[in-house]
Amino acid sequence: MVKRMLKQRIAFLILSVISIGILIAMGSIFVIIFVNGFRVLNWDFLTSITSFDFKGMPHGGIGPAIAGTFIVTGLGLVFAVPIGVLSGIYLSEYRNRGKLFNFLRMMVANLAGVPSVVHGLFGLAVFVVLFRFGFSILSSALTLSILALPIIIVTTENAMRDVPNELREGSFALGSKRWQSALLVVFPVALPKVLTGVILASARIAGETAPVLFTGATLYLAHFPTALNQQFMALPYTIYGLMTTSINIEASTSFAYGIALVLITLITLMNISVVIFRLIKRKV
Amino acid sequence: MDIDLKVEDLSVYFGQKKILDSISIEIPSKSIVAIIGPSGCGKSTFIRTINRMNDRFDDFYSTGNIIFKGRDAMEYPVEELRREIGMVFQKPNPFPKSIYENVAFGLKINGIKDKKILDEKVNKSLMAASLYEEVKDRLSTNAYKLSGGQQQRLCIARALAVSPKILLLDEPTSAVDPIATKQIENVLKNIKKDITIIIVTHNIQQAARIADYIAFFYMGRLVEFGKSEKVLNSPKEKLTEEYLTGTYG
Amino acid sequence: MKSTIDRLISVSGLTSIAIIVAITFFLFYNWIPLFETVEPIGFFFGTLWYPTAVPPFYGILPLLDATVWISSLAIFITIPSAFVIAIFITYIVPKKFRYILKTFLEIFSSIPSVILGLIGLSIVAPYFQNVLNMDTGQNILNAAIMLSLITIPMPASMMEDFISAFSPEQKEGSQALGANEFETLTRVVIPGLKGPFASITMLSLGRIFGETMIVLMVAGNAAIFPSNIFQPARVLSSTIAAEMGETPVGTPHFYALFGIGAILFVITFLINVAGEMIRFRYERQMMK
Repeated sequence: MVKRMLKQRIAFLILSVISIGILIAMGSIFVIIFVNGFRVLNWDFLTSITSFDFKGMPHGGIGPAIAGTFIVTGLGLVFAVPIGVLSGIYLSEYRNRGKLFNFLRMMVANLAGVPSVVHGLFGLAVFVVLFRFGFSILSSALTLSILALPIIIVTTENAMRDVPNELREGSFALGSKRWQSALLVVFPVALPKVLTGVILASARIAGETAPVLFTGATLYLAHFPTALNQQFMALPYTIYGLMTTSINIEASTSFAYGIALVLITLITLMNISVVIFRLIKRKV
Repeated sequence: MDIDLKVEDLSVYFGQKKILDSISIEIPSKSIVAIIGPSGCGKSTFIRTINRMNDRFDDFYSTGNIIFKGRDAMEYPVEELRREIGMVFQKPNPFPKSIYENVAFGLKINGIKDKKILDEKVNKSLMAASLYEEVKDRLSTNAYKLSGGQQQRLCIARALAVSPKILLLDEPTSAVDPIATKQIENVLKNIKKDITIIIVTHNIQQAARIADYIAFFYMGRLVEFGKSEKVLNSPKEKLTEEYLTGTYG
Repeated sequence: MKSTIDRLISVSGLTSIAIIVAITFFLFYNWIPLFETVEPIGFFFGTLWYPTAVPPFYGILPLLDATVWISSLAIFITIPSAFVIAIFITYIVPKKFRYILKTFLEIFSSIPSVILGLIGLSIVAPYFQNVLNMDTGQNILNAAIMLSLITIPMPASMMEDFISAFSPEQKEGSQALGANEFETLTRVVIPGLKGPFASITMLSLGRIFGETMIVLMVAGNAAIFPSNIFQPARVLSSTIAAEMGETPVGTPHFYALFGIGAILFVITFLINVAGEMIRFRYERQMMK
């Protein structure tokens, strides 16, 4: 008995050490980004235009990259949200069981599993080449919208399913058509949770590099974006560009850390807002 | 005696399981018909089949006919049938909207937009459900702020707003307190002059208090149907008598 | 009977299928023309990837080989680590910290992979090179570690769900026979969760396999057949990302990169379907 308890103690001790080690490694990534990024962070860095000197050293700030990331993310959502939400509604209110339902759900899961670089290829083939949108904000936003789609579909479906069935029956008993019950009764109740899905989706696509790599992002732009057919700078792509094309590695690295801090702050804030929302919801 | 609803040889199945076994009944208009019987006897299934609420289930199917106003219920567009045959559920289920929006919902989805008509119908329905005096100053507050009994009367008002011919109630007082139960019973007695009421109840006293007719269901079959006093005081069937005297159930 | 809105919703409901079909079509549509100039054997089994040499070589075998190396090493690190963390959260950590830890994992997994690439490149690689005296810090090991870090939260969180949902009756049954928590875990809980764990492993593998930016930035990008984990390598996904930007539309190189994309897509698709199937079968067993 004593020996067996000892075995359990030792096993749990080893597991704890490994786990804490991994968790510390993860936590230290936040710390590294914060410490290195904070050094270059100031108002000018956030708002002014980027420039490179003849040695390839970056100067100025990341204003256009912040603007670019906000614009493609926002525009991507404009495309993805209506379709994603309607699609989620279809899966919860229209086709919520049976063979086609299982198949559709699997397709959504598969769409979520498509490598982001493949999305990039698809965007290149369809939006850039076939639709002739060129390397542009529009092409990138459309590509990112496809990435956002499965996240929005799944959260909408789950949010709608969580709405008690009594409300559906109540509205059907009054003579509602299916869409009336879905959109006028169930959806308003599901809306807060749907919004968390939209936030998660934007956090996801704001950080994506590969889909914008050859659909519209560029490493250098001398101005803020003004039209949808322009190329644009994006925070994640600028990190990649600085780390792989620059000659002056030290200066580029600290610049890249500044961008990383901005990006991670943005994304983490979005995620934390979802966590806080869930906590409030749970207490009510 | 007018008859709007006639059920002929209705059997209902869920998958392999037979829930209702050749029910035939004629519901006298503008009266209160109480459906009683032990739990699991098919009472709820019966009224949910009338307004076709069971259609949503894959394994549900039925044989026989439900004739509403001379036409088979299956021939109606389901939305129209449900407008004509309203329903109130066991648990109050107001929408998470304002009191006003709850009552106006059925009208709005039927395309009524005129504010004056809406206001009038909402007020009338709330009055009919004896809720008007309690809520007239706060029609825009959320329905969830109301007490359970008030919510249930709101659901009745909501059902009445679309002027149904028949109102189905599935144990409407089982989730509310005795005072609210009394209020709801009074509402039903008041509105039966305009509307046919079919109420499922497991409470024999309630049936005695309000019903003009009583139908006794047992294991999916309609055992006895007739005027309340007759069924209650001198039942024809042994099963009914045993149920009423509390031998089982 | 059906209104316009019903139709709109139904059509939207089929979007996911439409997109999957469209992706498949356009990948193949832009791949097939490659075989006008390159033999299929040269593409699938060619051992040289020199797309800009004269004459060019479009053999993907070294890329495939490197992908297998990096993915296997990463999954080899990810799954046991995720498992250990899942047990740590369910059995060892006090209850009130569980939610905090799971939230932390969720937030960590949302870090963009390009940032993990930045860390791998600016911190891990110099450390490998200068402190551990490796020939190069940008290598398979570095990429696999960074890939694992970003992947671990998903399987850890899923495993935790399964372990903590494991029916308490079964657990108590075992404990009533005198087994302690650890014995219950190893003899009852874990054998009972083979199905879900296999499915979680597949899903993690799908992610690792398709992840691009980390490998692009830290694996060193040499299109060679690696012989150990300290060598640089270039995988399928990162090849596309590295080269597509400078490749003119409609050239054999362009078509070859779409071919790699198609292969990547098909393999991840199959991995995910397999994962889903296992999960589906397990859930059905549980229902019985």
